[in-house]
Amino acid sequence: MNILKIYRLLPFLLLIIAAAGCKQDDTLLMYQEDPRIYFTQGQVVDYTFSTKANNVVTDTLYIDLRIMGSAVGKDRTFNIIVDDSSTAKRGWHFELGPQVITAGSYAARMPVYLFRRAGLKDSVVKAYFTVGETQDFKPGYVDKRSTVDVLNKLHYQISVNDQVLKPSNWDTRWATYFGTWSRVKHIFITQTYGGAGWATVSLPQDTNFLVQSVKFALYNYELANGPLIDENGQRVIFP
Amino acid sequence: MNTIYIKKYSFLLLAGVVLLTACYKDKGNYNYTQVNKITVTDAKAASRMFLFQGDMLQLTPAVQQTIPSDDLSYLWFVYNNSTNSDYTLPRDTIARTLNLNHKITGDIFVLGENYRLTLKVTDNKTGISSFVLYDITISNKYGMGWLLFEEKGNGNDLSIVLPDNTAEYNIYSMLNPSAPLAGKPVSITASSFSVTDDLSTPNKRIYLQTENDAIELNNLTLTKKFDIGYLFFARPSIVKPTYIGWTAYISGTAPYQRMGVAINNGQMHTNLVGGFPGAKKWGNALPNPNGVYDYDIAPYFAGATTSSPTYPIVVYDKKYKRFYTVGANALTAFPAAASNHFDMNNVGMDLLMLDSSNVANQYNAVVKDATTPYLLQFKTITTTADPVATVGKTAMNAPGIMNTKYIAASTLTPHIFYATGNKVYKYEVTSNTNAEAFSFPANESVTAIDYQKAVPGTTQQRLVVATWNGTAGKLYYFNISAVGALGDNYTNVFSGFNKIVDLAYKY
Repeated sequence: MNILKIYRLLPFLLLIIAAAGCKQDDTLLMYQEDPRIYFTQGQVVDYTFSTKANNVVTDTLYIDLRIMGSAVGKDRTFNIIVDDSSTAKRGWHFELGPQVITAGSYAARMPVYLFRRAGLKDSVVKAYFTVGETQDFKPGYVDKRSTVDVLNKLHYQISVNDQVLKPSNWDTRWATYFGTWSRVKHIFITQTYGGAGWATVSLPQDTNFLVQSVKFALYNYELANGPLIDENGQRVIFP
Repeated sequence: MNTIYIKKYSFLLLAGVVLLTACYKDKGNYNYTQVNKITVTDAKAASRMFLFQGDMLQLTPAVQQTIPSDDLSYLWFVYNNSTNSDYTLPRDTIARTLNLNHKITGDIFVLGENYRLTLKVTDNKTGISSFVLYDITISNKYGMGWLLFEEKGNGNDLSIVLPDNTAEYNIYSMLNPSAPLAGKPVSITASSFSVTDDLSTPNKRIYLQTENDAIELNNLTLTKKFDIGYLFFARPSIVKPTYIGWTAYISGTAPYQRMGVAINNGQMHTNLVGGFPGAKKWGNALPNPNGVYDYDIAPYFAGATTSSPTYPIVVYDKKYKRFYTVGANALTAFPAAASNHFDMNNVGMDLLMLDSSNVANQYNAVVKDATTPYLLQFKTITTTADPVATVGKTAMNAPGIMNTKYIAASTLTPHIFYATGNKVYKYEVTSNTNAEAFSFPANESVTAIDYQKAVPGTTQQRLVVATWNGTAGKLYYFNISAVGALGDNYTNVFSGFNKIVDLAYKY
């Protein structure tokens, strides 16, 4: 008889258990990842002031970063650590711009301000950057093994100089047009043509225009200033 | 018992009700009624029409109706029906009247394309339509002919004499109302071969030079294509062009582009083309052999027929009175071994004309010192064994040639035609003799002269001479015999031009 009574209670019991499932769960059991940030592409960027006009004393590089996780409705800061191994001095050779992911965005371009210092004439300084941690962002992910390739998504390198280095393809490609390489000649060509891009000019008529332009510029320079003498004491000529 | 009876016959009752519906009277209309049948006909639709841009397309099709309706609507529409048309272009409605009177313009009718023009006539009462179809090809009126660059007031204009011996006047201002070309005319060039400069579709190139501007004309439509600032990588600081054109060599039997030559303010500019990518424009001025820009190039050049000749392009420096050979990035002096009869690097005389001759790769330069005209002949292809480029130097027995610049050399016979005042002379190179060949009316003086080795479509040689009488210009054709005789009279004359300054044959 007691057993029968229990059986009668069973439907009510089940109903109570089922009703418990109707309670609203305030904590959704969804995965919530940590916001992280990384360099879009870890790489070495070589920058030289030598191709710029003499009155250019500062320039800006931009480093692209991306975040992991969703955008949020407020600005968040991240932290780029300048490694101790850097030979470039922060505040002297370079300075980092605002390290902020603005509200609603997934990426940022962090400016790096470069300063043309006298020492760059005879040395190359390097800055190594590593993604650090803040309250808003943890470091992102490593796409390559850092022991093998230090240029991964968490590491970035800038090298800055103010030197003119002989292009590796000068003798094979440009000697026929420009003759013997010299630092003064190199600077004259790049300043005439407006950048270092001339080294990659390859199409015949573009090459002709470059050659004609530097010849014409040298002619006008000599009319105004007399012969251009290079660092070896030789007059700059284009054959 | 009753129940069984009802059950047994209820089927019949149902069948009877169904069958009775067949007795309903059919009030439908089964008579056949004639509707208006429209027929549109036009004899012009039978064959393809060839039209020029600017023409008025006038069509008057006939409409027949079986039951004349007073409520017809008309629709003329056209679409591109060329073989290469992708048929995604829209149909353009050009009229809604029965008779068409439509000007052919470039916004709908593109040069060289085929079009299908349709007239749709609809009876609005019945909605029934009838169609008539026309096939149209837009032809190029200015496909070939002599382009005449004329001085008009303080400006310029262009006229053309077509192969059918009709002339079209002032076509530049007509075709380019929104792009006037400033300045008095200087020269016109038209290449006879395609140029792949990647500034526009490969085609023949036409350039007009005035005293302070230069433009490229579209070879098909003769409309302005580019101005001088676009033709050069860097617009020259002083725009004073005397020549922009293309040199070529003979590949197989046809000319093939070698290099662009532009002479601006006496400075030499080149433009290297040849199948590689990238936009090819004229570069900076070339330095002379001393690395400076102190020279003044005459608006003539000598070329060569082979792809790798000794001297691909030869020009003359009016200032230092000498020849240069043109490289991609510099003007170069001739080697000492090249000069024998005269010094290519030190001619010391004023150039009157540099032109090709009746010998391939041999050029005639007419020069003068203070008292005597000379014919200098040189060749542009030499060999290691025979490096001499000069061919001869002759004191010319050619009265009056010292005072003219209207000189043209025959490329078939050893003759040079020149004109002073109203007279045309023929100088024979081999015998060093000359003869008066023709005399125009006394009030006409020659303003341009050109020799045409073969009139297209024929083997006829022709001398083309432009004259000016102070108010009106004329153009004369002289047919030249195979031995260089000019004949007693001209074969054609065209009048009504402005003062013709230069002319070029458009192929």
